[in-house]
Amino acid sequence: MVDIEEGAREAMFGGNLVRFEQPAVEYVEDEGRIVVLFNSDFYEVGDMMVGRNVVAYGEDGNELWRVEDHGLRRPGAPDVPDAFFDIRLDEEGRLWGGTPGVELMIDPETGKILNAEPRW
Amino acid sequence: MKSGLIGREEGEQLRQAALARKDELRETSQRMTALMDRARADEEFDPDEFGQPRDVSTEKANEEHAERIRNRRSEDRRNEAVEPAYQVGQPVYDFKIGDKSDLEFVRVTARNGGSSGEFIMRRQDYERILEDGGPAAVRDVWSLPAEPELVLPVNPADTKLRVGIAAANQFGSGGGLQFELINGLRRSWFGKPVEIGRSND
Repeated sequence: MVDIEEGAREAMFGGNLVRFEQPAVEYVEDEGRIVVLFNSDFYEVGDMMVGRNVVAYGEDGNELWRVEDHGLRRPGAPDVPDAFFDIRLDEEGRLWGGTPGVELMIDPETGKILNAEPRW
Repeated sequence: MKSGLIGREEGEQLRQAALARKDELRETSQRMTALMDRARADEEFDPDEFGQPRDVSTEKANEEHAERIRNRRSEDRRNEAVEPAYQVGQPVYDFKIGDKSDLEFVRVTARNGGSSGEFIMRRQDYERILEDGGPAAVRDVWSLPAEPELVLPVNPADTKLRVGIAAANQFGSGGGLQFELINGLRRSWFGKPVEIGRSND
């Protein structure tokens, strides 16, 4: 059981302190994995990690995966992936991450993008 | 016994209502076009504050939008046609916005939509259209997929916006002045969503 407050820079995972790369926004727990969304505002301009700001940890705090680059870009920033702004588990337990205009289904085992659903 | 068919009088009322609605939409479109003309004359967007607006071809803006939509689709739907976002024949501009602007923006969305989307509108336009015809009119004028349920303030800063007229599509007639956030979006720009119609929206 992990408790991560919004804005937290670190959290305890099974007795291990994990320092986050950026402040946490929210997290979901899924079959022993803790998937954390980091605040995209805190990445440097042009940092590719801004669009890979979802990371999964094991219960002891080891990093399991970082979401892959989904390939979606803004016309004014064609080199940097769009950030994720929210994450959720749906009624069937599938993991979704929201970026502007689209929600992406994420493989909880690997962090790869499995599917896309437009939203507005 | 009431028939399933409507009577002549009722049919005429519906026809008149539809015609009135069409005129109203044409008027809205004209008002929006006038706003764009003012933007072109730099009255709306002071170059000293916002930088010189750059004329973007509508075709380019629509092609960039279509490419993004295709990229967001799953592979089996990638080749389906994408309707234009910007009304063809109307100007589209890119301009910069600083950290101090008098422009007030909002974003509308469905309850299960994303609060951090790229298309926004001026608060004054949204409020006028909402007052005129409620969420259905907002949907129609900005060609939204559904009637919006939530509205939230958006305060972009130090970034670039694209502005143009919303095109008609399968969802609406278009004609609304729409702004697109074309650089990376920041969480801090987006305020808390509230139900449309509540006094504090």
